[in-house]
Amino acid sequence: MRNFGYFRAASAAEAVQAGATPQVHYLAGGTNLVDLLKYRVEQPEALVDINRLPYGHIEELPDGGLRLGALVTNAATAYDARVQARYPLLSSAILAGASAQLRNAATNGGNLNQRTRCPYFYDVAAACNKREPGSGCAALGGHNRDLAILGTSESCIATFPSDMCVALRVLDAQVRLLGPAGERVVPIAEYHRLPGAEPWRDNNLLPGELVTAIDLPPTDFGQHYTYLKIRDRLSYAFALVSVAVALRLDEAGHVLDAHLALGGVAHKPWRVSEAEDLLTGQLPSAEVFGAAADALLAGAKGQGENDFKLVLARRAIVRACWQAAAGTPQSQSDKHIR
Amino acid sequence: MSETISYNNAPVPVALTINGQVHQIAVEPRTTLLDLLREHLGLMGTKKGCDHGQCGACTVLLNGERRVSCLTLAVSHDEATVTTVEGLAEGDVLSPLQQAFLEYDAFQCGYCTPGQLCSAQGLLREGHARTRDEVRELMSGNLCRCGAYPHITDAILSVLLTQQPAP
Amino acid sequence: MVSDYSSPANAKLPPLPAPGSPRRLEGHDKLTGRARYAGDFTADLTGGVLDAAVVVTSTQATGRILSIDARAASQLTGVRLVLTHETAPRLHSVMATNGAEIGDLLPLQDDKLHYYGQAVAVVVADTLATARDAAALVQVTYSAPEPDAAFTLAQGRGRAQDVKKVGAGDPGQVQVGHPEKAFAAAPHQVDMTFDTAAHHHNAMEPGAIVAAWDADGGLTVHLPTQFSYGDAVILGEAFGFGLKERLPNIVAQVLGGIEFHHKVRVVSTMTGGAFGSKNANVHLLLAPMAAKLTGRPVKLVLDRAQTFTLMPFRGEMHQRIRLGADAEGRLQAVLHDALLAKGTAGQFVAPIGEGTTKVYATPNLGLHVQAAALDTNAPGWMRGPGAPNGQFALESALDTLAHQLDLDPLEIRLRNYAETEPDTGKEWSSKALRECYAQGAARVGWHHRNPQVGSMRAANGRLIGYGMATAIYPTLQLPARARVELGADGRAVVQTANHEIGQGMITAFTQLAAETLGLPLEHVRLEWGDTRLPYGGMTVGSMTTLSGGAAILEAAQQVQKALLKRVVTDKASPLHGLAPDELRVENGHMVGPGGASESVAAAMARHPEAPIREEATTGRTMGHSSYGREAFGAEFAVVSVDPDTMHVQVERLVGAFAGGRILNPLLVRSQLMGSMVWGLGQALLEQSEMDERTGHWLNDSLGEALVPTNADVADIDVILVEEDDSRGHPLGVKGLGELGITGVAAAIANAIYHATGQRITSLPITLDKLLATPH
Repeated sequence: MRNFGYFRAASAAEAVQAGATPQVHYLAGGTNLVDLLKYRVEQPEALVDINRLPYGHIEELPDGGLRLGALVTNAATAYDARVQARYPLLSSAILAGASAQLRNAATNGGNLNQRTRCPYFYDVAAACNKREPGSGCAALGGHNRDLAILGTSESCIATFPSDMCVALRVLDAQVRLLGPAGERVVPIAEYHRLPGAEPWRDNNLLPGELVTAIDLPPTDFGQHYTYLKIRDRLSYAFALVSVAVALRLDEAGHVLDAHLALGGVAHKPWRVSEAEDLLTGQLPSAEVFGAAADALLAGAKGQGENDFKLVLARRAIVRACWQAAAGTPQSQSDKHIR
Repeated sequence: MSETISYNNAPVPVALTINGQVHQIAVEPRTTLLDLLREHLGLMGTKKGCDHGQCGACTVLLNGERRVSCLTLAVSHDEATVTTVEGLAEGDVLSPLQQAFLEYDAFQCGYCTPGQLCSAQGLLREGHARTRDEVRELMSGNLCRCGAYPHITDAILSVLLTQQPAP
Repeated sequence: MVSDYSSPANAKLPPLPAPGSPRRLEGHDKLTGRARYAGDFTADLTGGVLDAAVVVTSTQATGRILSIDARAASQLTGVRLVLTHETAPRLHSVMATNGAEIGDLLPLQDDKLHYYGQAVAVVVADTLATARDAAALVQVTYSAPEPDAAFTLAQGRGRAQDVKKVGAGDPGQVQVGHPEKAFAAAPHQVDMTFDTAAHHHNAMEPGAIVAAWDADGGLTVHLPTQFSYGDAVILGEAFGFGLKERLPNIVAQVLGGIEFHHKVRVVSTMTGGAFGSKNANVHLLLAPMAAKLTGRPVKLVLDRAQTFTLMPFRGEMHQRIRLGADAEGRLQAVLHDALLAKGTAGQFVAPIGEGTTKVYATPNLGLHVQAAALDTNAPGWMRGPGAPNGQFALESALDTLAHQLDLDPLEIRLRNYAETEPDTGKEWSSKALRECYAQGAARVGWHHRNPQVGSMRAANGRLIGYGMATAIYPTLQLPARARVELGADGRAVVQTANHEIGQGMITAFTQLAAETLGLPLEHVRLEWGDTRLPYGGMTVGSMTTLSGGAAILEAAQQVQKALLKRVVTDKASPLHGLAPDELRVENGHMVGPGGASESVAAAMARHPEAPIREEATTGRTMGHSSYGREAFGAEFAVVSVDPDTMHVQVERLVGAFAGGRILNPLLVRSQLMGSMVWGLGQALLEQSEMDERTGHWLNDSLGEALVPTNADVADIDVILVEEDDSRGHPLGVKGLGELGITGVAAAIANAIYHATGQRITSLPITLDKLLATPH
């Protein structure tokens, strides 16, 4: 990796000031950034180390929600007793990703900002509009088994690899940002972008902006939820397709509220309100879940090698809905799909 | 006030306590903990299998937590405590985990073993693994191409079960 | 009875494997980080500080290098050398005994590109960081790529040519009887094609080498290798040390008992996994070339992506199996056509027909192997090396035939049990395969399963399937030499230049010498992995114990004979006057009739000037035998498949293996278990993806080229079936390191068929293949 300058920020103001310079990256856990530096996909002039900023705590919010500090590690978040009790879906999704070592280092803020695992993005000899705007997309017509089926563009078919963010999307998290112009809050739905004509922009962060926290609203998805991740290898692998489902049911079993999102299929966690509306007021059934799956996958298009994802995603959505409805969430250690 | 600045990519001083010994050393900002251990300090027990966080061979304990040292920038961990495979035994006496690896034949070529041991030590400390499936899942960040996995799991379980009451 | 695999595994204290067996003698070093692999060296053997070398590889597969601009790289402080085809020493051609690429294509000799990822420069600097920086600054420009390149079998089918010899010299074309005619006439036929993906060894330790030239022009290298003498000879040839040091001469010297005098010394003490990949590699030549020009010792370690192109792999294979059978399922004809990928250079073609020519009795047998030279780096030996793929095809086809005839898959194998070697008619030296079938079947509960396809479900709704296949691997032996010296302290030193690659050679050889000499294990020390030691042969083909062990056995027996002769003629010994054959040596003591005894140490101490030293050479006939010599086993798999997502999990693997005498059950079990893990990986995960447009192995990382994790590997049960092979080998041992992988992929594929009714004929079996079939 190319050498770079290093700045250990002692305060948020200092960090944001230093981070506003082009060709500067924030360093938190580094699990994705250092890897990108090694492949020379990223070649910043300097890193601003934000690890000493006061974002390393999980706090209660007045409305009954929870604030996850951006620098809290994925492991500390997943194993936090409050998260496990109130947001078990988030805990489950985090534990479905990466490895214990990586979760010990990776932070919540970094998880939001991780970059695609498209092999052509990592291969600096290949054309990639995300890495080098205007160079083309080698994944089109190349090996695309792992790549996107939804929301793709002519310039990019990459997927966003996070598991955690699929759960955050379902939980309607709010992302708290700090930048040169001050603080702002962005709903998770508006945080990540589709590739469109500017695939190099993964998200809507403005120059110099820093994630400081993720706020979780109070919800009641502790009973009926699941994170179902399907991959070739049983662990330490990115999703072919993942499904996060959170339901609220009435005593008779009718769906009061349904949230569904997909991972591994698009440039951002994929959620469609029409699919959820189809579930509201219904009793769980194969037909209802199938209709919701079809709505969630509306417009999906395979790229050849990944055509199977259309079938897989539909079946996975239905299964995940059943898991959530039955209150039998997918275990992340016993890999058998329930 | 910011403590450390390297505008010109110059080496940055860091102090690390590695296996009980304090090391004060200036490293380039880009130096990973793995390269610091191997290239600067000659601690060759920690192995480089992929250098991209994809195999776990370089796992060490950083402030007691298991980390892949290849994706850890040393400058970011000033004043941290590091335990590598060289620091697990008490002199010539193997730790219970090392002894279990020997007895259960939990290694063959030995190249992934330092990482497996540090990872397993971290797993025991974390306390989230109680069943065989949980040990297997939580040890999946450490690849072993010789395929010693069942014995690795056995060795860790044997320590787990003798250190704490069964669930 | 349907097993429920959804219940959580219980966490009882696991029983110790093979409780009586000695544990790995180098275990302490490996567990404390003291074991030194080549990449861990900071100085050469004389204390010279090592420079760091980094390889620059091509980003184009064909065409020519137009220019290499190394100015920016050379100007970095600390850079000592940028080695390119323009500046590299000219090498003499070498003979690669394993068919490796360097036998045809030496690195950095001209501007021609042969494959993507080819070495085009080597940068040497005082630190690794600087060498990496400089490597990134080397600018290479290429001519336009050639338009008609072929990187996959699908692209290169037109290049297929018949292969006369496969593997180490087995025939590529076999005909017994009239297979085509018999097939056509058979009342029951199976005709199927199979495709298996390329995949890489991915040993955890990447290729690495330390090279140092001395003032006298001698060269010492330290590297992980499976054939130190072979690598020494290659270096001698390449750097022009003279023809007398070519390999046939070395073997002649060895057989004649002549010391190996060579200006090249190769040391290989620890290898972090090899599996066939570490032998006659490209980097063997690169580091000494660089060190020759800098005049300083150099360490070169490949990065993970470079191991995909500068080291070998298992190439793509396309196979067609035709089986003709009578109404009882007896095979009338077996026809095996195979098309294998070769590299642009290199001669290796995997011995794919091991199973079809050796496992089942049939009067009519045909093997037709073709290879297509692709514009890639060269495939090479990889655990099996052809049998895992050949057995996947044959055993899947046989399973299909069994279902077609409504026969139990185990029964059809018993009906075609080969009482003699099918292609030669030779009697077997031993063959306990029937017992393997029986014990494996009993352990896995084969006869309690519901044999009907698609009939079994776990309580959680998953489809359950049982499958089985036969495992086979040849029992081979190569020449090897060993020296055993019993010293004045009554302790023995054993020397042989064999190699520890994780198989447990150090422990097995020490144990064998100790047992033969009658000494406690701790009184024997092994020296290995150094061409200053007697020729130890190749650590390949599951024959370490067969080759090196035989030499140690013979040398140790001679030492003991000399010792006993000495004591019975030594008036100071309490054993004086007894006949040597009346004495037993146990635990360091010689014991005669009536309780007379003396310790070996005491007897040796009386003659400190005269240690007993014996050498032996074995394997002169290259293992030639009047018997058919194969190791066999039976692999059983239980899988569960999610009926919606078609997600497959291997619940259990049971392997029952007959391997003659087992010296150390612990090591053998571990090796077979690991080998079965390889089979699981081959069955479900492993594939190196080639970008057909560029020739780039696209997933050249451990994150993308998936190998099994701990979570993927469930219960593995290894059964060692008793077998007496004393007429096959003086130790009665067979080769077991690779046997375990053969048949696993077929057993898993057959289990998936039993679970789902879907016959998947390509590896790896990923869920997209199962989803592709109408559901």
